[in-house]
Amino acid sequence: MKKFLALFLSVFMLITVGLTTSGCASKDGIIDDKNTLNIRIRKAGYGTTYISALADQFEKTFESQGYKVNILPAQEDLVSDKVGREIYSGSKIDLFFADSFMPEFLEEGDYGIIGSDLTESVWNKKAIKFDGTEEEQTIAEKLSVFDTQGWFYNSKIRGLPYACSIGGLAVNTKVLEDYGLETPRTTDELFQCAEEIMKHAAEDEIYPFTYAFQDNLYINRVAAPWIAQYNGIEEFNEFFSWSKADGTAMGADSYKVFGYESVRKMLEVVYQFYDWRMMSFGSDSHDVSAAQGQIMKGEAVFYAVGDWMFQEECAKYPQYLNDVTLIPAPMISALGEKMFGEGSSYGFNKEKADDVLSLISKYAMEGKLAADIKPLVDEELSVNVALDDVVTVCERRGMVSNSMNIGVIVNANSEKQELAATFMRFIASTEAGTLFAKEAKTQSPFSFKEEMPSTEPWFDGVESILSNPYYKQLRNSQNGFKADCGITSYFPTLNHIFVIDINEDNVSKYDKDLKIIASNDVYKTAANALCDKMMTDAKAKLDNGDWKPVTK
Amino acid sequence: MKEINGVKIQSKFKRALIKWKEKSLGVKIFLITFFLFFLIEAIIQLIPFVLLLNDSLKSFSEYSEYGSLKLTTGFVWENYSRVFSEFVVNGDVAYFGLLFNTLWQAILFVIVNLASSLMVSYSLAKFNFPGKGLLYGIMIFIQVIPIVGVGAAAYKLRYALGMINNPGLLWVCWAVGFDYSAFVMYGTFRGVSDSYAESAEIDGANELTIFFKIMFPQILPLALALSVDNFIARWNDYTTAQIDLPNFPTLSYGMFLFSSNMTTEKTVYFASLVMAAIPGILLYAFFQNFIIKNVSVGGIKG
Amino acid sequence: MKQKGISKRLFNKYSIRDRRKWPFVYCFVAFPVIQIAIFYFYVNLSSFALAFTNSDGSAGLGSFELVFKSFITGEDKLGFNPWEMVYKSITSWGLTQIATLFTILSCYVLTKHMIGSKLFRLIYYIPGIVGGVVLMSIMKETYSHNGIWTSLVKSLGVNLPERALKSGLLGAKETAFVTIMIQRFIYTLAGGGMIMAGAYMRIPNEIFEAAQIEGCGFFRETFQIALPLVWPTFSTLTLFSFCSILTADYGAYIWSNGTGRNGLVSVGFYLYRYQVTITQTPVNNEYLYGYVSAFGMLITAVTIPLVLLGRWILSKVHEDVSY
Repeated sequence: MKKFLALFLSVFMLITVGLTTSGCASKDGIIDDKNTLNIRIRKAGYGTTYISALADQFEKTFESQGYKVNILPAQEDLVSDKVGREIYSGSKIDLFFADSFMPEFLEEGDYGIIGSDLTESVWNKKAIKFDGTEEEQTIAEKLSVFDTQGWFYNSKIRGLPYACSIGGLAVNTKVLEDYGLETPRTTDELFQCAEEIMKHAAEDEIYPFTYAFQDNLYINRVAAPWIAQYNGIEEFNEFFSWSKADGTAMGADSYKVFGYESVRKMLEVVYQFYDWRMMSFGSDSHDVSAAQGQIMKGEAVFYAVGDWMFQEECAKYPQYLNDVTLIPAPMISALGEKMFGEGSSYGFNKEKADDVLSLISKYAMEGKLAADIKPLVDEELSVNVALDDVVTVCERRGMVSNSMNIGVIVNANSEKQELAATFMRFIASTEAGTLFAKEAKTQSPFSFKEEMPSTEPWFDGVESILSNPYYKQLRNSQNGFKADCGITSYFPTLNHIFVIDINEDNVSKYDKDLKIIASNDVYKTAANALCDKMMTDAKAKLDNGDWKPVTK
Repeated sequence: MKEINGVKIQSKFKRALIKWKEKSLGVKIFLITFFLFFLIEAIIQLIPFVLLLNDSLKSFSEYSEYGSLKLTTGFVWENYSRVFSEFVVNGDVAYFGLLFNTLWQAILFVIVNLASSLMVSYSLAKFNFPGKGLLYGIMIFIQVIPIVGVGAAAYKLRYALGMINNPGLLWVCWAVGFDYSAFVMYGTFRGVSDSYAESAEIDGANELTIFFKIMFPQILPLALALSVDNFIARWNDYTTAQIDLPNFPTLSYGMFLFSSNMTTEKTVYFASLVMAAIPGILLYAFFQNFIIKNVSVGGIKG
Repeated sequence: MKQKGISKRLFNKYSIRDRRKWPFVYCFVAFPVIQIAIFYFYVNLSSFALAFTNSDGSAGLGSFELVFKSFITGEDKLGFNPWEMVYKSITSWGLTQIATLFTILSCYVLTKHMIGSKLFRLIYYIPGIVGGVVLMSIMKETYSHNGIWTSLVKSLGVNLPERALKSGLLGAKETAFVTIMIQRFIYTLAGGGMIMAGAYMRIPNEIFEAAQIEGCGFFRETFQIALPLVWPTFSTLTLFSFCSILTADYGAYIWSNGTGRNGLVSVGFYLYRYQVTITQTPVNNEYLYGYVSAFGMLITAVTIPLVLLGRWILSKVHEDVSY
């Protein structure tokens, strides 16, 4: 007993006394020098080579000033909470490249002010090129193509994006080719494709759709465009912000957004998209990694995702790199019906209306302008579509969900604020954006329409989406949209809307033997029922004070 | 048959066989039933780990094409060597470093937690004093009430006290005396006879002597069992390494980071799971013998 | 005068012997008490206080009102049904207790009369060694649509719902919760008794030898000697478990990856889900903290009488035995 106690006490002493010299403590790695920036990045799908490339270039550009960049080991869990703790506890790291920060968290979160105010030092200044000269526009002007208002809190911006990723559908083109199918451009075409694939499903065990229900993610990559496509971006913004375009709050009428026609049409498509009998094996329980793997391998054909998918999977599936591409969320066919269908001045039948929509969409994605598209469509389909209508379709085709959040911040306690701001302006240059995109195999918001990072078909798809001259970012999440109304109740996880309701409704037009037993009306009925329920619930919550409508 | 000092000793197996033959039919059926139950349980619990081992030896393409049920054809030991190179935290702490950190953090936690729990459980079980009811109530209260949303406040306090990245002070947070271990030891202390303690007191022993020489040995096997429990729980805890001791990352923290990396190949991840589990299993096997040795020491005779 | 009388009565309640030991006792508990006062009560004060705030942050019982409303309507802000959380927590608790009851017998047989006992104990402890997250990663593979347990269930002729056939046992509402409950039950049956095994190992073999010499049979030895001797440990274990009767979390958060898919919910999941939502939404959603805190308090208020009831029941079943 005594020996036992003695042994334990010795171990105890050894541990508590000897730890600081132990070789198993992680080294600090900070270089405390006024000309050296210490940077920590998040280790994610972007890899870690991009920061070295940017750092090398920065040091070259500012060689005469002797600026250096010290890159600390990347961390997988570098999220806002962790960054907050580090900064609060006196970290000497000057710049953090994390995933994304809530603007409010940077100023009034649990750890006080953690990010420096960059409004004047970076945002309203010009980016710095590789040769050390300034660009023409300020960074604010450069990013004006995006909706950046949500990054401001109390009129200040405390971070910048360093990556962006567009959303759409990952498609396994090899399966489509094997089945003699074309890549769809409208939702009607998408579901016709799906029906064809379903004919072989029982035998080949290949299904049209896959989804990562365990992670419950990315529905908004297609649902958001589908809302915006139908009635335009104003109604889209109204739905998420409960305010009119002129900034007037909808107040007690906020519940009406759940009954908007665009929302009903979107839900109709989403119900069909998430018809669980059309989903691949495991969709109800597997994670993102498994779902993405299925697309790569051709066990499923379509998957709602962002363009980061490729960089996450390319190393694991080198034999399938040329089998996949990214397409934008197909044009919602209800738009074609509304604009060109039987109720419109054109009076086309459903198929023809969809053909018009599809063809305009095709040329728009090839980068053509409306004026050039109109004659092509008129000739091919023997129609005479008004130019304004072509413009409308092009603009709606241009609406793409793009996840771009402020992800790089300057430590509010850093003693090198000016140097850090210089680095931020440097990475905001178009050249730096291109370098980043190439190394990280993704998009940079500062150069997102420039040269693609790689040459696989995936990036052809990305380029096609971006080359639409009518490109318009749809804000991906409702961060920054007003959310003090308890809107999360219909958005169970932060960004992702009512997927649980849809999937659990078991709505399907197939029976258990995968025979079609109902028309697409089943989806319409379910969508309308859900909308009506949401409207009733929302009104009740607003009336009884459970939800507070937006007032400013 | 062995012979020690001129006395013939039968082998363990032969003694067991004789004992078995002496049992009645009913008892034999009872024990055989339980043996089958234990065997089936063991198989059920082992199967997932056998599959894990199998998957860890596959190439990623084999695993992604065929799934878990197919036996590996290639025995890709490279998955394990990749764990050493890819399973690195903060760029400089690799597998053995993580293992060492896990070990000392778990040992330190067990010691301070046990000590604190012993203080509380012994006092509550063996003494009458004002405030005893309150302390017991606190013990219950702490187990019952779920605490939410205090992460930031707790971190700020620990930082203000200089505990972050400082195990020399952080152990105070770990020395919780009103936890599950205290609860169980309290119950056992209540069942321990006071007769030896009373005789020792009459002979002039002070309270500390009574505690260390009479009471503590009575509860030692249980304390060790609880320590093993706490050790294992600590082994698997990664939040401490993530929040309070980021300079001293542990195996479980490394596992957590490794699993959240989307580019990690699943088969290499499985290999890392095996490598993370083995030290724990070996340690437990070692502790098991240790406990048995001490059980034969305790107890009151006559 | 009255005050002096009360303290005198209190003082006289304790014997001289008791009072002589007070200096030692108070010194002995000083450190743990100070530790808990600072690192538990002081730190959590703000959390407790939040329960007594309204949605707008002012002091009041608005948060409790929200909690009661969610129980009355059966739906809360996040669309969860709090009754379902509580029901599932109680179910997982109940099954664990039934399995633990069985371990009183199984651990005795394992530690005292079973061949290969050391190996069995090692195997049963492996899930505990590797931890919940790792175990979940391993087990998920076995529950996938082509995993071993799903295949086994299918081969036994069980009619699995379609979604389970498509996405595995965790992919359908009908099977997900049941699967986890069965797993928990099975794993607890043999392995849940490390504490019980420890209690049995504490009993000296001399006691059983003495009983055998007196002519005590196997079953009498089991039920009249062994079981009563471990009763204090078992009753403490069970009483302790009463503390989590309403908050038991069987790992719902881990199994559903925080989504609560397919009915994998529990109170532990519910409270943590709220915390995650709080940190991800703008800070002007602070009222959610109040709701979560009030919910926790309500659970506590209901649990404490249950704990006391459990204590009373257990004390009636078997008196404490010492030797």
